[in-house]
Amino acid sequence: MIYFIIVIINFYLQSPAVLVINSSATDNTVDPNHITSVANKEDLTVKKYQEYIPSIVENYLRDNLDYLGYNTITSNPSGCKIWQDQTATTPAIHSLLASYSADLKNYTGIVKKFKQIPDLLKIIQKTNSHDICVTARPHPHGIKALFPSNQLSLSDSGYVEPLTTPMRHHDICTEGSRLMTLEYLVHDFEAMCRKLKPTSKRILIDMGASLSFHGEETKSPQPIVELLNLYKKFGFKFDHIYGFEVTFTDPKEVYENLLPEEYLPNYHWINVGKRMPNILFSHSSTRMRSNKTWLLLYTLLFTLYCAML
Amino acid sequence: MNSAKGHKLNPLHSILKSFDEDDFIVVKLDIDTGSIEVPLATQLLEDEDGIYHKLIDHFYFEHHVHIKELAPFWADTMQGSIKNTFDLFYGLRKMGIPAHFWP
Repeated sequence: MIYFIIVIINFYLQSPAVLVINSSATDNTVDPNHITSVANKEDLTVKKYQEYIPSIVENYLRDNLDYLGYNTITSNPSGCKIWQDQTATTPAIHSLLASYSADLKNYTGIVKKFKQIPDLLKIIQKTNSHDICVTARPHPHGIKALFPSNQLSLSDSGYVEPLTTPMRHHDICTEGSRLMTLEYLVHDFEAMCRKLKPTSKRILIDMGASLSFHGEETKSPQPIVELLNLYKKFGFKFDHIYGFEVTFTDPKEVYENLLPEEYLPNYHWINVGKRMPNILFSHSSTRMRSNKTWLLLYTLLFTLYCAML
Repeated sequence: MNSAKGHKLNPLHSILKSFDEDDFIVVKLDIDTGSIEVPLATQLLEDEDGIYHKLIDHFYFEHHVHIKELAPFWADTMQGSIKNTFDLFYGLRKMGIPAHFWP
């Protein structure tokens, strides 16, 4: 009960300083040429924020790390228990997590269906206005309207997902194949758009680029490619991408086979570091994926061996 | 790549600092080598020159700490606790660097 009270207090504390609320609407089909008529109306999106405001759930977890057994290096505590075991936290927190999970699932579906919008910075430069930013809304009333659980945290770049275990999508608790999904991330592209200046450069510094662009031919692209595609869909095209990688990779392989052509004009490949060439995996997959593949293979072989015994 | 402060091959020094706060900057850190990536993340948190929090708009980092569900994949690369992760990510967010877990 106390957490429901805190939720309500938190909402009202946030509202006057951070949010401006009303019922104006736009959608993913808004014509950029007619934005002016709706852009100045109030809405549910971030207009001004001063400091990081974590959600109730994130605050609870951070305040109870010892209680949850998360302050240890002598064992591997379960990050999933907060989602699966009602007694791990409190009934109120468990209920908020369930509500947030439903919100996140709905948000993921809407993001998937979102139609790509034009390059936002180019329009800001052309119009000297941020009115175009409303087209980056995933909901007519802004991203917050998609999360009635009120469990998004508010950051310097707008709303973001709360920090929770298992430090990935909680779907991995029941579905191992979701290990590499990015669908637990929440981006407030409208707020990010409003931070852009006409002179802004959009930069991605990728430390650990490896063969990150590999995967174009697979059903599941590498996470960094998925992230780039997400940003592109919401009107963010990077002017420069700096890919740092410590494992030697043949530049011919990088530029001819791994890097999608659309990124060639913007990509800087800096392949220096301490690692020796990884010949075994250099033409097939990323290092991390290779490690995981071998681990799974060893596990499978060990299981078969045990079964034969 | 080198995590030493001020080193030419430290991207936070040689690349990131060449931009300014009007730019939109995303940083991803996932090199699976704790001896390099943890110092880099710590440099962001310490932000000695008071510049990183003004530059970075989103930060993605896979922090290998002791956690059951990821232990089979991280194995001997795990260092620190989940609390360490929360302290790092919350600290970054609080200082103005929206930090996210990276898969």
